[in-house]
Amino acid sequence: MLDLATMKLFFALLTVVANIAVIGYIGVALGSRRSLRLREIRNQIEDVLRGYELWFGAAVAGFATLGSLYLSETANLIPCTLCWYQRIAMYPLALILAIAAFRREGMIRIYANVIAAVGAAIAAYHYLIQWFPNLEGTSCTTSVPCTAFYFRVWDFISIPYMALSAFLLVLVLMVVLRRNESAPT
Amino acid sequence: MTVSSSPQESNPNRSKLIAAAAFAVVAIALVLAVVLSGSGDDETAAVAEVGTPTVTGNPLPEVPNSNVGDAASDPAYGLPIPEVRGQDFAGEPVDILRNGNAKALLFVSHGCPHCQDELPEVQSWLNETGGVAGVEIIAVSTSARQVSGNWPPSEWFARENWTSPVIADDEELSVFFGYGGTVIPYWVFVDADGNVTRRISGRLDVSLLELAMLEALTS
Repeated sequence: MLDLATMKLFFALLTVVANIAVIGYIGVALGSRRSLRLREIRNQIEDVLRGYELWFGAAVAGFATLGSLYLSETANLIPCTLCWYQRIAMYPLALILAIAAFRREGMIRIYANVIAAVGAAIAAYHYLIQWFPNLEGTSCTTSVPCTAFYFRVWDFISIPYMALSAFLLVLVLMVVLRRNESAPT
Repeated sequence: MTVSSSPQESNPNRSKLIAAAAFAVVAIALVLAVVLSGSGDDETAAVAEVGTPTVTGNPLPEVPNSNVGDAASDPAYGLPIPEVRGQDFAGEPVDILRNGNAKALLFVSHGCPHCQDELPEVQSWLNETGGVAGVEIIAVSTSARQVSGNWPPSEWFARENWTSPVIADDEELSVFFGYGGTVIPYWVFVDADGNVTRRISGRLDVSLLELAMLEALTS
């Protein structure tokens, strides 16, 4: 029943939710410097998330991990080299965030930030060369070229875009965690 | 050790509410995906997208990484090409033979973005100039995989209004590897005697394509 077309759309919808969360939070955070109302909204958002930042981060990374495993192991979309680099960042992120959430170790955000930032940078580069393949030369391998789109949902959501969205959401959640740790409850 | 910001544990309802909200987002996304995806667009039948070509003769050595400027440094320079008896997407026979005609062989894959750029550019040049008289262009559709983008290759060639003959390579890429290919797009130029005059990996500007075809014609 849940064929590849359905799962692609499912992942794409979750990606859009992640994008809305990231853009929404960044927008509110930037606006809160000038607007008291937006500052209140930001505080409310952070208050709602208080204590759950790591759990949400683990869930985001966990979903991304399961999604990538579905695409490679069930849908047989062989990962390219850059996909593997992103996996190297995403898979441990899911584990360490889950362990840290369970143990309530907020210090993990330092490590999570570095891993997620590296993953986001690779995903952003991968997405860039998918749109501008000439940045990577003038030819493709016959195995799995990084420059090729396996698919694009709504013409813009590709696999590295999904990964980039997940990494950015994890980074935003770590920012919220940091602010909540330093703010009075 | 830094302790994570504390949840308001005194209120278990809050935890349940947040978990329920997260679950609802995922569930709604899943339901929407099932409803909106319908029957899906990935069920295209793989009819004749992959061929069963027969390659005879000695395979060409692997093409060097960069030999655009100096054809004579290519170990395949002057070697006879392997002959190919294959089919196009409709199952009609298309062959690459040492039959007295100079040739330009273009190896492309539907999933490769550089090939996706190369094919229409060459076709556009052919439409404008008619190509080089006496040199036939034959495309080889290689590395065809249903999971890759731009599937199926037959529709891609049709969409680009490709007018030259096409051979569908097999799953082992027998034609591509038989011609010493390493990356795509990949060009092999052959003189009238059936010997290699030049091989080029990667995209090729049409002005260079014309020169290489003239070179094959006059070799």
